[in-house]
Amino acid sequence: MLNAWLWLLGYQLIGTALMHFLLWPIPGPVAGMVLLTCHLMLRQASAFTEQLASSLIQYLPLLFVPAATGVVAHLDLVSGSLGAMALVIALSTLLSLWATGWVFCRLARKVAPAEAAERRG
Amino acid sequence: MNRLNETFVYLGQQPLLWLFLTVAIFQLASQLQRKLNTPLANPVAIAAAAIGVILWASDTPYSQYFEGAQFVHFLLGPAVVSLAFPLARELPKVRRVWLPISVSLVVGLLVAPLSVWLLCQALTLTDPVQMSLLSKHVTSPVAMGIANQMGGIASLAAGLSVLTGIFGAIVVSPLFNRLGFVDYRARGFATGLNCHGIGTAHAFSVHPVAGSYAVIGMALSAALSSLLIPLLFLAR
Repeated sequence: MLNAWLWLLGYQLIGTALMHFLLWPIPGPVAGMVLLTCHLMLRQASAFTEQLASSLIQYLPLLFVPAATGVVAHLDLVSGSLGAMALVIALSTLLSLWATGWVFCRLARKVAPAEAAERRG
Repeated sequence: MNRLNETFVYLGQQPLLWLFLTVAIFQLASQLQRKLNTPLANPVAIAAAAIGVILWASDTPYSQYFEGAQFVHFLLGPAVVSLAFPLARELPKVRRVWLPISVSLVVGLLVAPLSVWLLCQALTLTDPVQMSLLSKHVTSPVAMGIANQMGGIASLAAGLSVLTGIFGAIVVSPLFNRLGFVDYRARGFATGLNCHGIGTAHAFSVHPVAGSYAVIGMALSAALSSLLIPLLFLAR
């Protein structure tokens, strides 16, 4: 259990230190994730670490609540152009989701159709 | 009566109360979603709105709330590192779709900021707001860095990024169902690219394959947008 935490925190620490040292704008945990992925491609981690990781992923939405609350709590600061900003976010996100998904679907159908486990319903 | 009041004031100053409320309200919001069985009832959005109302009604500053909520917030770091496990499991299969990934990556990374720019021109938003909106599809710590570089407002950019994530997590499933995109790889990748962490969290709740591809989309989007957005919009 303690070892599992050391693994995850350790990779976060390495990622954070490396990005700070290299002056790259990538968040430390994201860099740590990439490094741990490389490690896992070469050699497996303990079952405990994998268990801890999957329970953290299961509660990922909860972990975003404090940050999301911060946005809600500060909405009054930008109330002036909030409507316009919300409109930009909504339209641009819908358009970009559609474009990205459509291109992926089109090309994937040609080069590597989804297996049964990779498709909906 | 006075003691009761005093007790509430005392609790409000303790991290414990806000930590408990964060977890408890999220749990209630998740149960509500399970009951209503619709992605429109996104637990992150409902919990954030409910806690926002409580803070407003009790006149509690966000910094005081965060004293308690920071324990939950801190776990975000190790949780992001954890995403390496599903990612490493999926990677051997990812090679088959390197072409769809790279082409849709370019498309998404161009459409997201360019559509923002066009809409901002149409709605005549001010420059700092515009520059803060350009990175809305990128995870908030990276979005702050991009906004700084572009002459936007970092804290506003972080907020807009979170709002984008919440909006995406709410609409993405109904949108893709309606469009008939059945490929979880495409659904996940588009979600991660455009709606970063909050979208990725939603993708994992739908399907593990969607979650893994969302991680890929989110990571590539964060890495490349910090180069691409200044390149596209700083020259003018």
